[in-house]
Amino acid sequence: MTATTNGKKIFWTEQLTIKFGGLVAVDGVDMDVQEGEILGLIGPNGSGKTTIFNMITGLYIPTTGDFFFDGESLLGRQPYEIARRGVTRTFQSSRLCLDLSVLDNIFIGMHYRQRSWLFDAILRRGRLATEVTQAKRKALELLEIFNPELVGRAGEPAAALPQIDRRRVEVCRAMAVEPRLLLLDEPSAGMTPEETEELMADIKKVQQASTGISIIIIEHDMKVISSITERVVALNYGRKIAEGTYQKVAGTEEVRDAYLGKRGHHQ
Amino acid sequence: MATITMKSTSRKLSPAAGIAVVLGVVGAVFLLFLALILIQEGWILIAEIILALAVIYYLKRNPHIEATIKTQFNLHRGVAIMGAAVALLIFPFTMYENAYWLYNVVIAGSFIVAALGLNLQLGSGGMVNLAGAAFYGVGAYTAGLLALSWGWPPWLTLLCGGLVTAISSIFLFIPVMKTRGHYLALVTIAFQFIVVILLDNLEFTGGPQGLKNIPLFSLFGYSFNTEVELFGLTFPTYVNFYFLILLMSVVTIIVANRIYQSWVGVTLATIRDDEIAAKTSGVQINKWKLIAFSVGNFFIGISGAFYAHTVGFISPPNFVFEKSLVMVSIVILGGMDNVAGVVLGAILLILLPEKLRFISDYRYLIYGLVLIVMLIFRPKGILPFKVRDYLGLVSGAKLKSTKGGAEV
Amino acid sequence: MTPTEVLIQQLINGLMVGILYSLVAVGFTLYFGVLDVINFAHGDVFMLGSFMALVLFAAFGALPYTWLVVLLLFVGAMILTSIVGVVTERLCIKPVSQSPMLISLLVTLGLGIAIRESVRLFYPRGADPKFFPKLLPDGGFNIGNIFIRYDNIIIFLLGVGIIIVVNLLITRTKMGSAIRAVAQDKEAAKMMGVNVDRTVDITFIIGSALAAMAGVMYGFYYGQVMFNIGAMAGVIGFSAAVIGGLGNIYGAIVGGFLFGLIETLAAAILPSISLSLTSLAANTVFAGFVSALPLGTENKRVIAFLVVILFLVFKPTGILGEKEYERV
Repeated sequence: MTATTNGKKIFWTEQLTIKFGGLVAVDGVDMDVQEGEILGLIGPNGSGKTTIFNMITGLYIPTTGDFFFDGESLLGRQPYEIARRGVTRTFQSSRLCLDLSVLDNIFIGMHYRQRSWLFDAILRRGRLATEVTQAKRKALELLEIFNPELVGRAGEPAAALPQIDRRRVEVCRAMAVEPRLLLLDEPSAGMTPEETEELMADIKKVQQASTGISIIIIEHDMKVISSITERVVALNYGRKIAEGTYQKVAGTEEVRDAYLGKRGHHQ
Repeated sequence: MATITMKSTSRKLSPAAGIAVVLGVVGAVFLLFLALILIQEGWILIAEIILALAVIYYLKRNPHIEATIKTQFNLHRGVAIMGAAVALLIFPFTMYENAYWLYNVVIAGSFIVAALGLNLQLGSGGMVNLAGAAFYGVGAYTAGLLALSWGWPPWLTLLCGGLVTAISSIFLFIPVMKTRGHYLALVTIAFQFIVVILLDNLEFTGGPQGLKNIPLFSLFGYSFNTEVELFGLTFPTYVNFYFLILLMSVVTIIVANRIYQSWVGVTLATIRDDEIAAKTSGVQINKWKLIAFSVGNFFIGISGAFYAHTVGFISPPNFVFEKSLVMVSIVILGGMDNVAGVVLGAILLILLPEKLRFISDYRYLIYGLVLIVMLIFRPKGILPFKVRDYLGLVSGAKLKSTKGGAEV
Repeated sequence: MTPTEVLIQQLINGLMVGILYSLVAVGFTLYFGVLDVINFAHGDVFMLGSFMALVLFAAFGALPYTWLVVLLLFVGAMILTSIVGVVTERLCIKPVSQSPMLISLLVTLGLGIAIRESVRLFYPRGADPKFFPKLLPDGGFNIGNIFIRYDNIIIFLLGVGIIIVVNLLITRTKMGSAIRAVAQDKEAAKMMGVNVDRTVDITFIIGSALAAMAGVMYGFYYGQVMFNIGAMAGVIGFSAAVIGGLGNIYGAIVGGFLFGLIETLAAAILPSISLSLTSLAANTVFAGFVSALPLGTENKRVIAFLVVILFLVFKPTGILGEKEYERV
């Protein structure tokens, strides 16, 4: 585990809260991410982790509280604005467009940087061709980082890929947006131990491929958390109950109770 | 850098043999189509259906033959296009005594344009537009009124028909832009009914009688309503309209295909398949939906305007809800977001009921069943499914290695 | 009649139409709630109900007691239509219920066309309007200048009655809780042991029965039915469900009545608006414009639809709130 951070806070929340009717899903959470670090976000099911991701990416609007990226408040911003500012994510149940080719799925991450739209599509094919060729090269490079085999399969529909490769394509799509903060939502869900090892290697590759990128990773697999994260935030019932290195957090009594005993859910 | 590879089982053929294959296929399709139209008796349709099924079965059993044919078409694309062009150009002249069928083909052509517009909305963008016929009517009435009241030439009214339809659709779309898909369905249905009721009741649209004596197309004084004389033979007036709609269709097909094979196409497809994934990847959903909706309606409107200047007489029953459903079934049959499929779907769904006069009464029932059966069993449409290849930039067949790896 | 009396008379008409719309709207909202499906065939199921009644009347109309025949028509139509409803759900809708909503919407559209055209083609002289037997008591009574028909009262009471029954079904029975559970979270319900398939079937039975009942009521009220009454009924029923908030049964009822009232009031008010506007604009430059405005009573539907669209602009989730659809 290397320290790749420089201590600068690239992202933080202030008393982030969201209520659904009577249910308080996230309750006054303060957390921050330093530039270049990998932050783990853990907690039993229903503790609000994905909900936080949804708020950060603009899909849900917080009831109260605020969150800042690169010094700027993103509260109330549209999801696409947030993505273009450099915050992207993957989903718990992978959201790929299965009928589209692997390449198309990655292309969508790059689309907003393109210049050739309707007019060029219809009339100025040359400019479109240049952009597509460049985008294709970048997309294949991304795929190669994670699984060179995928490069040969880039023209296939995403549905043809096994689950772990679909996860990888989803990460590539998120990376194609060129984010500075990447949110991974339970990337190891449904994976075998070998695949989880590959996943951890993948995340390392992400760090290398994109210098200075910060990652928040939601995980239930503590092996992943303990080996790749530098800090961990633990939630329960929407509230932050512990923060620090994995050892410290795992040793906290409240965290243990939440996961194993009195008030939380079993792992 | 590695390349994208494609399995290939096609046999190699000499250029001459390859060209012969391509022309042979194009010619055979053309002749079969002609036979279908010219032979009155019903057995021809049954015979051709059996033939088609037999061919499909044979090709499935012998994939190398199918691959060979496909490769040859790719290699000799220019020849194929020329062959098809020749066929399309001589076609109207084979309708020597057949004004009725030429008229049907012209109408099918206008539906190709309209259906491609609807396909941009529904197939590419996933937006349910159940007011296709109403928008078609807006285009038709705009053209008719401009021509009748202010004497504008058909070319101008054609353009205006498209523009007015597109702009009015923007007003319809904006209120529901931020809501869920089923609201758009509801709003378009409401719009469809409102438009027909208004057309029926307003005086300046002619009420239930509609608009009559709309001037037909003419070019530098040559009215399209004149019979065409060639080699001593007199051909029906529809020959003129045929060439116009042929031009319009070809242009629309090219435009639609190019939109599909571009950033616009992939953006719309992602919006259609997973809005949330699109949003979090930086896609500005509302902007693209608006663009797709209005551009699609532009084409629907222009085909309506074409209809007005071809038939010369329009009235509210031409643009009822049932016709919108026909347009939707064309897109479904052809496969959503599949340009070639939609073209084929339009031809099939407009011409076949005419061919089968005896079941023509059942045509709406058939449209309904087409919707149900296609969506349950083959939602991708009748033609085989192909991923986007950006017109050859990305497919296996045309890909070359940039790093010295193997390629196909 | 004083203006108030006119208003009340119109309100009564509005309530009548409203009850019909409500019954159809409840079906729409149930289907959306339980299966996330917009069922565009539902309006044609309404029409089917009335035609089933016609068939039953042809078979059993000669029975001695009128009330018995009426009962038979209602119950018989509801049963027969429910069977059609469930069968089509299993055959056509279930296979696509996991696909995006767009697909199921289009499938039901096709289904609606199929039902409509089948009636037109296969019912003897199906394209013509059919006379519906006049079995409900004729005549009525007056309160002041307001005339209330006996059949109005019967239909209204029947409608309210069945709505109460359905409400009790949904809130007090085990099957009702199953429906509500599936509507809220299908996966969770499954894990709790709810038989989702059977619950969906029952939902379609209830929805189809309600629509059929509305169809029979329509027949009794208007005296004639036609193969194409379903299209408009479906659209209106859907609009009403949307106004009230999709997935919310009370919303559907409110929406149905609202639509009926708006429509009737519009029909009543439009002539006077038209009249006053015309006299105001007479001999001015606006006269031609006003005469071209669509202010005839046939445009009452236009007004109602415009209200719906406006409503959606300002309150897209409906009066009582739509159920939350997508989980991230």
